[in-house]
Amino acid sequence: MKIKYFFSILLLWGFACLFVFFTESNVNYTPLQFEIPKGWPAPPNNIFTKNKLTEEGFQLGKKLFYDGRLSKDGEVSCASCHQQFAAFSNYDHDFSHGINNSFTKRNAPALMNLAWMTSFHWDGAINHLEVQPLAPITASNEMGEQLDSVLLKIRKDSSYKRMFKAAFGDTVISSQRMLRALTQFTGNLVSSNSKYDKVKRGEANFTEFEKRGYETFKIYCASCHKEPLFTDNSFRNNGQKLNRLNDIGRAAISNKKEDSLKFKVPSLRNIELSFPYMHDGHLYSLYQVIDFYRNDIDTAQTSLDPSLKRKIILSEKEKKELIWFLSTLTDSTFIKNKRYAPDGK
Amino acid sequence: MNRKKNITLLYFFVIVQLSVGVIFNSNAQNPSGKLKISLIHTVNSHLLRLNDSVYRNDFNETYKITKLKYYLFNFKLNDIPLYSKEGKYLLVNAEKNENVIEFEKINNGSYSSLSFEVGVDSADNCSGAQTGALDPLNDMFWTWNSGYVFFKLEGTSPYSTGDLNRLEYHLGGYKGEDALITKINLTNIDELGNPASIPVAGKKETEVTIALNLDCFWKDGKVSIKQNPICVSPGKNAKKIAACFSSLFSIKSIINH
Repeated sequence: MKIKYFFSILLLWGFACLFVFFTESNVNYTPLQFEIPKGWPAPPNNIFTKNKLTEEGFQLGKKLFYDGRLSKDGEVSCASCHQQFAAFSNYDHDFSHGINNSFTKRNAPALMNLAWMTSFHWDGAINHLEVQPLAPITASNEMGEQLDSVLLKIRKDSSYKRMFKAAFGDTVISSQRMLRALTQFTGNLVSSNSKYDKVKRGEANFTEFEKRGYETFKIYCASCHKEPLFTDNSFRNNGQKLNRLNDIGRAAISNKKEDSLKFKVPSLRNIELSFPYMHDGHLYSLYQVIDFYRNDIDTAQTSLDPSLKRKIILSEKEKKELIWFLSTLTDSTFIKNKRYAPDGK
Repeated sequence: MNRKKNITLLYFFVIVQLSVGVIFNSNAQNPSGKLKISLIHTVNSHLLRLNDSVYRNDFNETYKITKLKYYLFNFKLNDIPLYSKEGKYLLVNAEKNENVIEFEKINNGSYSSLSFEVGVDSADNCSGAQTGALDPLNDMFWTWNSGYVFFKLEGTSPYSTGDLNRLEYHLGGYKGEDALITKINLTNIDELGNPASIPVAGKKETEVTIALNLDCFWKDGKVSIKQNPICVSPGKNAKKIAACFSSLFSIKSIINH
């Protein structure tokens, strides 16, 4: 008899526990695995340790990325200057347009493989992907908005309430959640399926032209544009003259004279799509870029990268071959990937 | 029938008691001392009034203050770290009626020193989006150059050469030579100027009031308004101005309820 009662009470207690458990966690997350492409190094800092990657977080991040309400006039979204068809750079723009017909002061970089980057922006001013959106959101010549206003706007939208709940467990819309969701989207923009990658995986072959271009690349370019990410994340002075905006680059952030005119080495992946080139977008074609490296490096600068002190001698044929090779870094599956496109497009 | 009911009730209470025991037992042996720290701001021998009062510094320059905000963390009594439920950082804002942080579970005793740091731990400057006192909504995060403003002082002065006679000090920096996280070590002084202890006893709460004396901002940094009305980024200049941090604070009073 006693035992029977004991068990019935235990059973009731168990049910009560289960009830509490289910009402507390009625949100079902769909975990996402961050995949490291074959042959690539692990990302230097795992940005998804504290910010658990889920499908719901990714989708929320995507909605925010394409939402003009992040800007003061409602017109400028992240995607305005980071267009998927241009590998998330700003197609055909040296500088981008902010609110009130303003212009940015540097060329909008392509967004890809950000999880492998150790800093962000041409001068490396941003130390973590999660806090990067704060810069364009609040800059008067970009989205020109205040963080609290952004939150007020998106809190009014019931679809955001639903999506924040799906991604984070409840409807609280905080700055941290917004920034982490954006990171789940941008940190997942991985481009690793170019012809170059296929060749490396043994799924395709370079043409003779491309192969010779690759050899040239390895001699003159690969030390800074290091494979497989095609950047070594360093800051270097590649011999451009001080531009009309007096942009001294890294030195403005590090306060070090020796960093004058140093800029972050950009990745060359999808380089064909991310023109114009250099931090101020003053070179419009890859031909001009290679001509710059052949003829126009300002060797008088004291902070010039040592690797560029010796003149680069390339024939016209080698130049063309090099460009053929650079074209193999275009990843058409990346720019056409529907997962990265706004919903309904 | 009655017996069955009794047994049911008995089991119920046993289970309730067991669960309650598990929850509350863990607190039983811990120290129980409490300490409350409040910050006040003084200038020219008065409590600081924002916006309308005119003050004078050691360089005989007049000024008004519109904003004073700063981070404190790592509070310790005799080098023993203190624990607060409210989190690691206290963001002091002179605009608020009170700026208070409470600590608990302190061992009873007489302590000879109270220390803390001005700023934000270097790791917390580069760990992505934060919440609470470190939420970028608090307007203490540099969006264009990641890192926290540790100490924000704004106002106006006819001696400022800046736009609109602005005074604007946004002091911070966590990297290498530019780092200006500053440890402050305070000792209690009695009426006769002798060292006195900070008592923490039993369930009474000890209340320590710390005063930030703004007069010392211009005194020790040896930075006049005319020379330095504006400094809004990390670097040598910020470091020079922030040298005053170490002499800004003192213990104003200790009350043991």
